[in-house]
Amino acid sequence: MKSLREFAPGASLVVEGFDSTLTPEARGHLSAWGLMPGTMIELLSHQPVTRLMVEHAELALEDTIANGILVSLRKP
Amino acid sequence: MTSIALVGQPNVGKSVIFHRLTGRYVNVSNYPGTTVEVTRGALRDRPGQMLLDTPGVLTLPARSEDEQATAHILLNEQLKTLVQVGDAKNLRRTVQLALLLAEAGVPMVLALNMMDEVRARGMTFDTGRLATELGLSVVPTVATGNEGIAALSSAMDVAKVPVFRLAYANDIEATVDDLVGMLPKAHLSGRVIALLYLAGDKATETWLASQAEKQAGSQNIDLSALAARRELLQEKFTEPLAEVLQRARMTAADAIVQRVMKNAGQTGNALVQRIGQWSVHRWYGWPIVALVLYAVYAFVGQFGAGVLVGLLENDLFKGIINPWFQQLVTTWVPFVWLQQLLVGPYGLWTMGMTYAIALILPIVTTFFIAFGILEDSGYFARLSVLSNRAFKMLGLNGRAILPMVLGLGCVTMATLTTRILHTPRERLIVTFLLALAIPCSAQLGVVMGMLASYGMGAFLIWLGTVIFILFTVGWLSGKLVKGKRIPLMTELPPMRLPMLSNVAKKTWSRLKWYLMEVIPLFLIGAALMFVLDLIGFLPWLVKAGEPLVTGWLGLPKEASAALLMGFLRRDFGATGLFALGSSLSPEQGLVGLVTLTIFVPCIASTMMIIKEQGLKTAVIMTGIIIPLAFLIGGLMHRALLLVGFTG
Repeated sequence: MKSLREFAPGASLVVEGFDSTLTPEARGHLSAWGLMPGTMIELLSHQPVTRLMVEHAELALEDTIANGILVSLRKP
Repeated sequence: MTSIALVGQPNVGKSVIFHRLTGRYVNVSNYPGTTVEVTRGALRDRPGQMLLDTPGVLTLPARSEDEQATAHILLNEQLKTLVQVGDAKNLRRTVQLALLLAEAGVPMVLALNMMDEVRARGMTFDTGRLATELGLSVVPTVATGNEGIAALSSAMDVAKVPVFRLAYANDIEATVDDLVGMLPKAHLSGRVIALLYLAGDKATETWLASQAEKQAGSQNIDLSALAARRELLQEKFTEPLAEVLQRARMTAADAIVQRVMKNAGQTGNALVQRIGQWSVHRWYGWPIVALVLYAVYAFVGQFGAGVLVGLLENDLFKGIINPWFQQLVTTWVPFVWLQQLLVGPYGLWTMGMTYAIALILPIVTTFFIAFGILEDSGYFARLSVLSNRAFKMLGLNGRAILPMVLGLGCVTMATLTTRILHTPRERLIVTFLLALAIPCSAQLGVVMGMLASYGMGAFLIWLGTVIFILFTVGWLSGKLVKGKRIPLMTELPPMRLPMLSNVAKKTWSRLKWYLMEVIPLFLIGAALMFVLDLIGFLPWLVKAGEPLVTGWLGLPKEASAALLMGFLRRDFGATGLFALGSSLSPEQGLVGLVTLTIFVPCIASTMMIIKEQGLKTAVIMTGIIIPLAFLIGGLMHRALLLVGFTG
């Protein structure tokens, strides 16, 4: 389980949890988009901000937020 | 009167469905947060019934002011039916919101919109099964193509209260049961109000406080007992209750989606979507911005303000209409003062109507077309990614670009759109920057038109100066206004090929609104200038303003009139400068345009700032902006002289 920022773009990942550095507001926002433990995501890029796909929606997250999302590689 | 409310997540097509069902056009855009206020309209085939278009909510509790407007509607309106509009391709998220709304105790229909995108991605799911799972009618729609709208309308007629109940954890269920007994009677079910209250929804808390005040003495609502019950439940969880409740709904939504989904489809990879990817790329993104800017400049500045204005102003108005009208007036109107009022230098026709029709109309028409195309494509939202680093310096995040870009259309509407920002601090700073340095469409068009005749260099100096002011003042504001910066978290809507009909509709609706506002104001402005000239105030002002206008800014004394007109509307002032034409040198034109760009916002924008931020803030903003505009103008005049700028 690593931070989202530690994976290379193109990786298929599963959300495992959130770091304690994330504020309750930020966690609330992420969960409203469906980013919760167990959610499958596709990492698109890290620059200029982290972009990812959840379902068919594209999200853009600043480094501080992306750092707080803990993920693991999705098993094939 | 009972109403039907359209509720749903941002950017799912609620406003298009509203337009289809009522015939009333409201602004529809390809980015979240276009609707910030509730819009009402009578249903086309049932004129006695009102349909409400509400701002998008990702989920409840509401997180921003526009989302709270939706929560307020749910709590306060006697709703006949609730129509949730959902993005069919993001089914999990749609179902998650449906799981809360379905328990509201109101007849409900789920419109699964954007089915065309579902088909394009090869997704398939069983809508019949979804309807059974949620205990309500599910209608697939493609609102932009009018597909499924008749079926939705019929489903709204026979909608029933959903037979659905999501089982939360035992502790939550027990607390909800307790709270239901303590809550006042409402249009919504006590269960949903209890769930919203437990999640800390601000609109629900406000509603409860107002109910407690109303019912004081009769049925007591014990707010402190409610709060104590919530705290007690919170102690049983390590995560905030809002998150616990949200996770329960998301888990249930996941399970339902798994049962109804036949094929989850592929993410689209069409050329337009690849352009979307390139437009947020760290390297390719910037050339694309430059290309877009140049295309807008060529279309609005060179074609609109050059070719079209030349045809309308010189050939049609100055060449044919105005001489004929002047002849007509001098022949038939016996009073000289009335002749002057109609066709004099500050005449209602020669200034008011000529400015509005011959100068502004071609410019704003081309601008609105260019703006509509970019808006419909989803490009604007991508600017938030590219600009995030720059906005970080101002203590904001890239989302602030949206009201700013909208300000290029109309600063008044953009001031209202600051409601999509999440904190009062962000809203205050962005409102101030909008008032200070964002030119509205008409002004921008006139600016581009004038600068096009001075060359690309002049345009870049103007752009660079305005951006420099925007970021310097913004940086200072970010330091001075207290509060924490919120990092960027935003959704990027899919890039789409702009729909010609939507761009045409938008352009027409904006032009109609613009002309309705501009023509009376331009006529009032011309009449005011005529009266001020008649009573000798204008010549006096020109003389009194000489040290500032001629001495400090280096402009000809006639420019005082343009600056005075700028008080009424900035574009009116800019058009005044435009009309001075060749009597201004490129250096003077550039100084005049920079001064007017930073100048006070128009009357309508000022009223909006008062409405959104209060009178005191509006007065402080104006008190800072006017001296700053003259200071920058004067400094720029000196700098341009120093470098020997000749255009």
